[in-house]
Amino acid sequence: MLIQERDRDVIRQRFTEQLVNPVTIDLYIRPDSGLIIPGRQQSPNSSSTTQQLLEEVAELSAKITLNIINVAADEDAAKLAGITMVPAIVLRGPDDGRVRFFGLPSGYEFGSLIEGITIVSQPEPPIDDVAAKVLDMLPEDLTVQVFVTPT
Amino acid sequence: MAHLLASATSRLRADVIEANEFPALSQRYQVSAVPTTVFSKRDGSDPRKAVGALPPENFLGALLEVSGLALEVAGEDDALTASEAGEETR
Repeated sequence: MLIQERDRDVIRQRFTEQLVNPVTIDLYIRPDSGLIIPGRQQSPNSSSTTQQLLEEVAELSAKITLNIINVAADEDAAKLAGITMVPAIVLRGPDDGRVRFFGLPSGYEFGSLIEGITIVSQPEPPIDDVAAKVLDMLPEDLTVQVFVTPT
Repeated sequence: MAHLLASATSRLRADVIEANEFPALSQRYQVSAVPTTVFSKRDGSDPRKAVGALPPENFLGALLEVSGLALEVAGEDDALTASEAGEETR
């Protein structure tokens, strides 16, 4: 188990209290081939660990559905979703997936993952009036990329 | 903040990226400290980078800046308006 029993209880309780709409988690992975080429540096790939982590998270609420997409076997699905890096986690509530994680959400970012699941489950995201006005002003589609490291 | 706002509008997509796992992307934006936030148009053009934790007003201001707008908060009721960003505000 990656998530300790004590933390599982806390998260399960939070999901029970705060999840409103169903949440779908799309996890795009590329399983390790197991092939090691001497002299070549192995690129980091946390797909298997991320899959295990999300399977444990999905077990904590009946409102969470986990879809696992192997991009090596289904490239079209990844292209259709605009996924070019793995592991990729796309959180979907009533709307399409605009809340995404790339890489293993460990340390502080595990908390962000739980928070993200809670956010996309809400019928009305809890933003203040100023933020709502700014979002209404946006004339075109934007992307925000937040770079983090495990802490 | 990013995920909360992205959940509130179809105009915004928010990605949290583990910098060590994607060194090429991190190098593209010269990420040397975390958190680093990159605001851009959906096609990746016109990127603006901010290093460190961003207060909400700075985060919202960056969204408007990428859109070519300026944030103006004034008056007792904090009336919020946007205007075309001139050279002085860029």
